[in-house]
Amino acid sequence: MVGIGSPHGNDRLGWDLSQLLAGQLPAPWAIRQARVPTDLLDWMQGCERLHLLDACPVVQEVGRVHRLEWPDARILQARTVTSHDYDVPQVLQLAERLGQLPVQVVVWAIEVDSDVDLVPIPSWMVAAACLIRNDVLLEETV
Amino acid sequence: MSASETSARAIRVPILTRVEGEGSLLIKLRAREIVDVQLAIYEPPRLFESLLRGRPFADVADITARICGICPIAYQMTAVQALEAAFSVSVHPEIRSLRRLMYCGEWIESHALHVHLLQAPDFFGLDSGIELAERFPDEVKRGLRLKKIGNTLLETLGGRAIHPVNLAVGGYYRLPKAADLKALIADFEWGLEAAIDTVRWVSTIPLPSIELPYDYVAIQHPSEYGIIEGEVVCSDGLRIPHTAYEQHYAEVQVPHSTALQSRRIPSGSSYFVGPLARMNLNREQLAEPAKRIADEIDFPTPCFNAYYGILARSIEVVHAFAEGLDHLRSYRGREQARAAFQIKRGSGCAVTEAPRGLIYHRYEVDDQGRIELAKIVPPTSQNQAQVEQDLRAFLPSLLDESDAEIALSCERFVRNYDPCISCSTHFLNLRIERE
Repeated sequence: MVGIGSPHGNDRLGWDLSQLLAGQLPAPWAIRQARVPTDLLDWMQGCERLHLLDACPVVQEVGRVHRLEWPDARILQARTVTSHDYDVPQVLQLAERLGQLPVQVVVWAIEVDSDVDLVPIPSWMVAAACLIRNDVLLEETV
Repeated sequence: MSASETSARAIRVPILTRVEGEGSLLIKLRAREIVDVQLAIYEPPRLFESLLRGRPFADVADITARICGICPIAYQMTAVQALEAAFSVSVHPEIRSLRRLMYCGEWIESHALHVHLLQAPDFFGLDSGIELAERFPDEVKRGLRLKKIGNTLLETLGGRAIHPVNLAVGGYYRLPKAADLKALIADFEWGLEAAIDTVRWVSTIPLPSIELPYDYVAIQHPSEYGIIEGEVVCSDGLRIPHTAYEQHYAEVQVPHSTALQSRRIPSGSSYFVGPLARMNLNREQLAEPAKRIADEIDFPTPCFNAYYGILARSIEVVHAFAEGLDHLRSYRGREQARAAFQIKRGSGCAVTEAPRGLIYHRYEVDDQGRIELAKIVPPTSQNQAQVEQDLRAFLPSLLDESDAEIALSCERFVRNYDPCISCSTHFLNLRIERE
């Protein structure tokens, strides 16, 4: 379970969510925080299920959670305009070409606006963490 | 005279991929005559120089870092050194060593990205680094790991890898713990060997043959590979102190672009900055491992083939790891993070070598330390006129190709310069008009 972002501004959403989920998932789940998507490549070895936590622009409402499973076209469309580095879709494609992509890749995209304050952690983020945890645990039992 | 000999033709490249930013290229042809080549930067000016006016000097490093996410250190370092010149500040040798180390980190991450993911696919007829990864998985993985080591170093020294926040006038806001830097030595030892292997791999790539006349410009230092200070030298023999830069190189406005283009004074001619310029001018000052691998692969000097830029970049990665290791091993840690100084009215300038070439900053500061004037000349704007001139020379060999083929070849050629168009603004649509 990897939160993508940084400790700054609203970019922290992925990291905050990963911290909320720390200790809530059974072994062998591991929680990580990635500053850049290429960090993911370091953690894919031996990984069967990869879940990513990331912010996305508001379409419906702040805090709305979307579960997208690779190769959902919406993940591929979520391209950033930078060439500073590889973005999430590119890293997943790269991992696929390198034969490193886990069997299951889920992207949890949570809607957030740039002017929403994430400190202190808002109740909708706690609710999002619960939803994600419950979904993961439910899948474990199936 | 056949119709094809008289027909007009306009070729456009809508988006140049695998460069940072957006712009357009227009090529106008009349029969087999090249009427015009315009590298047009259409993104609105970003006005950083105006944005800095009236701001406290301490804001400059953080604001200028935002000009580029790939080479923020180049902007920050040049800015703080120009301000140190304005305030007559001397930094401690160990701080200077940390600054060179930091710059090595930026070269590593920027060059590794460009070599593996942006340019190498061109030489195999592939569209992306992702396709390259399928064909050369080990090489791409190695390149990504090299890049990551550069980013980790920047994070250790700068607080974060993208837009670091730790460089200050006089030194740093906070110095790294010696143990944190020592912890990077093993990665750097691996990186040095991996970078050498990368040069060997790149040297097996068949590079197109083309030779064009260049005036190479780079900074040169008497005792080290020019990175953070030195005289500004040109391959035609011109050697000037960096303080005389504006007497010999000037930015001019062209009607088709929102970005300024740099030219030499008084000739108005273009010039070429970047790794190839540095290799041509400063090869003897490379770190020994870099010099050895350059000799091993018979890197030609002088070299007037722009496609060899990918090799020059690879060799500079070796240099950056070798030099970086020296700095990491010698760092002992110190108490004082930055030199004390008096704020005073003054002006100062500095030059450093960004991954993609020489960068120049000059600031005038009032007696309260507020910026009265800022002048920033990034490497990509210095290379723009050269890109146009080179395309004029390069295009005649392509005229029998389709517009799509010409557009692709031009894109590939432009990537030799590793343009960071965001720095000056953004790139590339190619449009060819055949009259």
